Parts: sequence; structure tokens; C-alpha cells
Amino acid sequence: MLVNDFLKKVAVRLGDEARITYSNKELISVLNDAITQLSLERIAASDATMVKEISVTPGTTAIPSGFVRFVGQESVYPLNGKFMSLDSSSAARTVRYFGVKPHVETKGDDLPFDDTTSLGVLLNYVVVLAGARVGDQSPIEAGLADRMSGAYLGRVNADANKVKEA
Amino acid sequence: MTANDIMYRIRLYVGDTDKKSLSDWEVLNSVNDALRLMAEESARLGSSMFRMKSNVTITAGSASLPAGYLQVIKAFNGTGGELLNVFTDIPDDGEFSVTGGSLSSGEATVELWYFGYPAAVVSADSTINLPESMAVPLARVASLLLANKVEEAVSMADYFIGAKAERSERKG
Repeated sequence: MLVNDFLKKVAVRLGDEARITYSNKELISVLNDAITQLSLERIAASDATMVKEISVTPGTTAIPSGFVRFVGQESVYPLNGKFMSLDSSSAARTVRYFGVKPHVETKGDDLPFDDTTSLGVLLNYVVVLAGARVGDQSPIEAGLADRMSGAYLGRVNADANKVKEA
Repeated sequence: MTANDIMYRIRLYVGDTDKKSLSDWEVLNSVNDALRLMAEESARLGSSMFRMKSNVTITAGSASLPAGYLQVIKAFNGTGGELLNVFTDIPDDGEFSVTGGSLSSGEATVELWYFGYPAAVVSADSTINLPESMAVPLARVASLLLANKVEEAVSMADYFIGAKAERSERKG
């Protein structure tokens, strides 16, 4: 889904279809905060869809933007912005890590989360964050986002039922 | 079999088939540790597994032991005569001794039969020179080593290797 299509949904939920209260620039900024929030939440739960893979040459390869942690233990470790070798070998190796989804810049960009479940959570987070700027508490959206995340990550079965009820 | 045949089983046993908890590096290390442990137990129990042969050229009375050497089984000279295992630094013809990392003998060449562990597995494509029947035991032992359950891993290795050793004895 394009950012522009997503922001139209956000504007409807915020009651700002005429774009009087929120500019696209502000909503894109809020969207990026929501992308980071959702990413970190899923990484904390070791969601397999948040795993990335890169080739690392120790001492040379810079830590990629959005790097959070390795999947398990690797033969390299982060130091001063680069990956260094545990075994003193400078041979290139493939490593897997949990990384935050990339931010968007313009209305024409694709959303990094593009499945039905994630879009719903992302929408709720954006509404909560954007609403807070004008004093809206958005408790329904906040509660929904939390329940949807819980269900997606399998926090407890009861959470999935709550989503259905909501 | 390849290392990957073992690695996917390990991930199955530890519940990480979606590869979100363990790195390949960790799993490969556990395979190498399991190979070493099973070779040690195989030597201790005298099983038919992990037996190796190397033709060693003796220079000035001694030579380095093969990489991966654990324990001698037997040694023969160039004409097939069995050598006597002695405890001296300067064995005569018809004799050999093992001291530290060295093999000494009065013979020019020694055909050494020994228990040893295979070369380290370095990638998922590496070949492991063991029969297919060892895939499950190796993966099970590696899974326990991954969890740092060393004693349970030894017991598991003994269970599989011991069973094979007993069958060999019955046949003998």
C-alpha cells in the first residue's frame, strides 16, 4: 500500500479529511514513529518477519541502519559502528539480525508493513500519536492496537478473543 | 550426509525451524562439538564408529600424529606386520609409541589405525563422513549441547554408540 492511500485512511479516522488539522508532513512523521514502535514491539517478541540477512566482512562492514540485535549468537560483534570478528578471521560471512523496518519519506513510498493485520495496528498507532498532539487520548485505538498486537504475537489466546469482541 | 541434514534436525528438535532464535554459526558449532563428543565416547566404548586410518611417514624416528587423533587402535609397518605399542621415546623396528602429539617408530612408514574426530564442519554444505543412520543421534546430541546440557548429551551419545558397540561385540 502506498503512503498516500494509508494517510487517507488516517485522515478519516482523525476526522480530518479536509486536512485542516494535520499536514501530510506531520502525518508522515507520526507514521515513521509508529513504524518504529511496531517494529520494536515485534522484535521484542522475536517475530520471524522482522529478520534480515546481510553479508559481513569484519572490520569493514558498517552496522546497518535499523539494526537491533542478532538472531542468536554470531561470530561477529558490534563495535564503534562496525562489526568486528570474534575469531580473528576477516572472512566474509552471512549473518541474520532483527532490524527495524525502514521509514517512509514521501506519499509515493510503499509502506514497509503491508499485510492486513499490521496495517490495522499501524493505523491505530498513528491515530493515537497524531491525536495526542491536539489533546485526544484515543483510548479505543490504543486499546485496539494493544489487543491486535497481542493476538498477532500470540501473547495469550484471550487477547485474540478480545480482538474479536472489539 | 551434509551438515545441513543435521542442522535442520537440530532446529526441529529445539523448536527453531523459523530460524528466529539461533544463528547458523551457533548450530554449526554444536555440530562440531557433537562430532567431537561422539568420537570421544566412541573411542571410550570401542565402537566401530570414528575409526580412521592414516599412513604416516616417519622422519628421524618420529612424526606428527594425524589431525583429529584421539586414541590408537593398532599400527602396522609397510609390509603389513603389526607393530608393538611400547612406552619409549626411541622404539625399534617392529615397535611404535605415542607421546604427546608425536608418533615414534623404528619403521620408515606406519599405517596407523586410530579413533579420531572428523575435520570441523564449516558450512551447511560441508560433508560429514558418517552413515545416514548417525544423523538423528548426531542431531540429538548437538541439540543437548546447544542447551548446555553436557551430561545429558554424553548419556545420549553413549546410548546410541553403546548400542552399536554391543551389536559389534555380539557379531564378533
